[in-house]
Formats: sequence, structure tokens, C-alpha cells
Amino acid sequence: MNTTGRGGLVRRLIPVILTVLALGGCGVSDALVGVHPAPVESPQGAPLDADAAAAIATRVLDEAAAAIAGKGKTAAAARAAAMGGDALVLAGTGKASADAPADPLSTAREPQVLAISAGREWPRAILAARLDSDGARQMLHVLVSASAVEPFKLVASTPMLPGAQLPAAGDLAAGAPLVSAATTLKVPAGSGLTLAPVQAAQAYAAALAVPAPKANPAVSVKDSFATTLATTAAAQNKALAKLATLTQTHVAATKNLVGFRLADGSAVVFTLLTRTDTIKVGAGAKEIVLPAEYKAITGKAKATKAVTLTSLEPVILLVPSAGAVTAIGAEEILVSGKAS
Amino acid sequence: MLIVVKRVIGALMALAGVALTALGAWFATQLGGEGVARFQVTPSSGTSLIVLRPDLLNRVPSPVQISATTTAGGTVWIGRAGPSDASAALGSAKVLDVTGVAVREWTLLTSTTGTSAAKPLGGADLWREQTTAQSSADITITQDHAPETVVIQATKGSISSLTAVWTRKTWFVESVVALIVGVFLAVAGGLLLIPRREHAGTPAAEAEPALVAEPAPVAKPAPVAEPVAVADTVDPAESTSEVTP
Repeated sequence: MNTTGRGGLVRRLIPVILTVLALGGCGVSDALVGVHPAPVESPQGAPLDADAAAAIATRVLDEAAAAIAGKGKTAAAARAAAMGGDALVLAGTGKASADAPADPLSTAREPQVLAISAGREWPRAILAARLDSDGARQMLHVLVSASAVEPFKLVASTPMLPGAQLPAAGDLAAGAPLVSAATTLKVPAGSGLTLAPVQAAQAYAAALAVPAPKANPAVSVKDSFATTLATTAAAQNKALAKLATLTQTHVAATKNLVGFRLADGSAVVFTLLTRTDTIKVGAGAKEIVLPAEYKAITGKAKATKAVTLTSLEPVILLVPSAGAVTAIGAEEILVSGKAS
Repeated sequence: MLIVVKRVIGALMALAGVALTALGAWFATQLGGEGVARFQVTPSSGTSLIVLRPDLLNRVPSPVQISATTTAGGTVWIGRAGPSDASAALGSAKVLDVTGVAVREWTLLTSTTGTSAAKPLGGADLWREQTTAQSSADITITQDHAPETVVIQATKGSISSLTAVWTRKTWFVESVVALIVGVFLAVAGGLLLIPRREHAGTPAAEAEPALVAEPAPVAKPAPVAEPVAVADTVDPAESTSEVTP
């Protein structure tokens, strides 16, 4: 056997192998220095994380609370900077209740972020919950950023009704689709709502009218707000007897309507109703004496013809994908009146 | 033929080895033991808005520190956000876009885009982090929330210098390894270039003989004496023929 021949073959192969390795390693590849393509931004999901949304909610709610109570042009400018939509309308009446800013050293009133609008476009919205300054009512707040350069502002702030529940919005990171006045029923099959948000608000308002509510099978008025309104109106009419008559109309002002689609397919919608109470003095009465509250708002102690009272009613409606629309939050704020 | 091939391979190896050695040594001295790669650029006068995008910030799995300095008395703001958010905030504003790095010169490559004047950006709620400082400020991108864009704005004065620093100890280690491998290749290649010689005791298989001795001349055989003819008894006095040997 010729062993020298085999050893010579091996020695011939070694430099070839080394050359290949050397030339292959000599090129400074991206992988060698750890350079990789930049990751691609996902267009889906919430544009903010929960911590950032909570920080924004804290700042905006405290700014709004501080701005509501002030008077004059400076206070008006502060309100405009911190608030928008229906919240600004209510704050401008001077009748909205002022919520005190949260104590920065206490966690009792830290806002809880319930939903963040999905996607990278604007407007963007945050739904947050926070106890009011008395700690008695759970408030739901909606904050909206209208464009990339505009900070978030408080656009809706409404107390929940006692015992009401809000379905979960789902994973915060996934985001919740935003609902606006433009949202119609033309949504992908299987994910629609029983009524478009604007129609839901109009139907609910019509179902509250006194003395002739317009019933709608798609709307329920069994919530505590509607029940209280009906009971109070009935009691007032009974007290007035034949001396005067009370009529009550509610009109949905949906220009600033905003909401979120929830995990179960329903939508939580924040909007404003304008209520007009008209008390007409009957033919058999000479005049009616106004209670202190009406006297303060109208500036008159008595009325010989009629009393007209205007109230704003921020409401939270839950519009399901099947079933009846219900109210889970509402309050009434008497803003103006006149007596004649 | 085999010798020629070996020498060509040896030359290539030696060249590659020298190049790798030089490259490894240069990077090792430039990066230092901590593997710090520092790139800098001096923007043109009046630059007030600079943007660094994911193609620069998020291509290496290491933190990158961005530092900006303004002209005297200036104020600088730095913010980081998602790429689409930052682009939405910038709009068509005129920005100095940092597009890459030049490793040999350790500089940042830039280009100018946009036309409109920039609006103050700090008031928006899309910034994941923002900082404002007099004269100079810095921000560190950790890669945890990649991709991200960093925007730098001089709210007062203009930006006089920008530095981006990547720290990756692996780079120093790799440069030392390259240096060592380069030396090995250079030596191995050099050895292949040197002609080989026979040593005593080593098998001389296939070796050409050093000297071919000519065969010794064949000696002519010694002459064989022919037998002398033996005459019959001859009277010496009467014989006249010569006796020749």
C-alpha cells in the first residue's frame, strides 16, 4: 500500500479548505456583526400601552377638574385646552359639577383604563373609569386626541347608574374599534349592532318623552334613570293636577357622539340629550309658585303662563349586537330656564 | 502544475490573512475593549429638526444612545415614538434625516427632506418618552419597543452636533478573532509559498535522485596466452624456423 500517496492528497486538500473558509469569513457579513433588518411596525393594535394611557388619563382628568371651576376668559381658555366635545359643552354652562383633581399621593382615585382605540390613525380615544371626588359614583370618561399634534382632551364624563355593568372591552393591547356619529349598520356581517349609535340615542330620547313616550322594541327604558324620570314626571303632574300640565321632551344631540366596540360585539356610546320641561299654567290657575331651584334658574318666583326649563343629560348607552339598547349611565344638569 | 496551484492558493491565503489581520487590528483599536462604535455629524447651520428612523436605530440588538447639542443658549427636545406616529407629527416639515453610518470615518450620513416649517412637537401625546434640556440632551433606545423613531428639535437655537453610540462588546471580540485568524491565514499562506526541501531519514518516495553515477567501465579481460605449439623432438642445430610466442 502506498501511504505517501494518501498523505499527499490530504495535504493538498487542507489549503483548499482553509482558503474557502478564509475567503468566506473575510467578507464582513451583516450576520457576523449582528446587523439585521429593522422590524416592521404593526398597523394593528392599540397605539398606546396601558401605562401610557393611564398617565395621559390622570393628567387630562386632573387638568379638566381644575379648569371646570374657574370663571372668566382665562378659565375658559383652560377648559378649551383640557376639554372638548360634550364635556366642554357641559363645562361651558357653568353648571357641571366640578370633580376635584386626584391626590397624587393616593392610589384610590387612579384612573383605570378600560379601552384604547385600535389602529394607528386619528382620532384616538381612551376610555377610563375613576371614582368621583366623593368616592360615591363610578365615573366613565372618554378622552380623545383629534390629530397627531393635538394632545388628548376630555370629551365625555358621565356617572354610571347604580348597579349598571359595562362589558369588557377585551385586551387593551389589541385595542377597541372606535365608534362615532358616522358609524352605521353597514359593518361586516355578524358583527353589527341592533341600532346604529345615532339611531339608538334618538330612539332612547323619544322613549323618555312625557306624556307620550314613543316606545321602541329595540330600546329599553327600564333603567333607573328613565324610571326616575317617569316617576318624577308623573308625581309632578299629579301635584299640579288641573292647575298646570307638564310636558317633557328629550332630543338627542349626537354631534359629539363617541364610543367603543366591546369584546362581546356590543358598543358603549357616550352622547348628550337635551331635555325641555314645559309647565303650562292651566286656565283654572292664576299663577304657579316656583320652587327655589326653579326660582334660582329663572330669576322669578312665580309664573302666570309657562315655565320652560332646559337640562342637559349626558348618557351612556349600551348598544348590543342583539337585544335592546339600555342606558348604563346618565345624569341631568339643569342649565337654564325662563318663566313667563 | 500542482506546485503552481499550491502557490496560487498560498498567495490568496496570505493576502486574505494580511487583510483580515489589518481589519481586525483596526476595529479592535477603534472600538476598544467595550466595543463602542461612536458616529457623529455636525449639521449645517440653522438645522433645528433631526430624525433618526428604525433603519438606523433598530438594526443591531444593542442599546443606542443618541445625544444632541445645540448652539450656545439653545434648548433641545428629544422624543421617541412609533415610526408612523412620528411621521404623522412631522408631516411635511423640513428635517435632517439620518440615513446611515460611514464606518471608516465614523460619521452619520444625512439627507434633507421636507419643506415646511416645524411646529413644536412636545405637546403631542404620541411620544413614548421625551426630554427637554438646555444645551444638550440624550436618549437611549433599548430595542424593547422597536421599531421606533427618534426626533430631535431645537426649540431654541439650532442643533450643532449629533452623536449616536452603539455599545456591543461582541464586536471587539470578533475583531480580535479576525486578527488571530488573519495571522493564521497569512502564516499558512506563506508556508505554502515557500519551496519544500528533502530531509534525512524521510522517505524519498517519488524524489528525483541527486546524482546518477555512471556505471564503472567494464575491464577488458586479461589476454589469454595462446598455447605454444610443441614441436616434436627437433635438433636445435638443424631447425631454422623461428619460434614465436
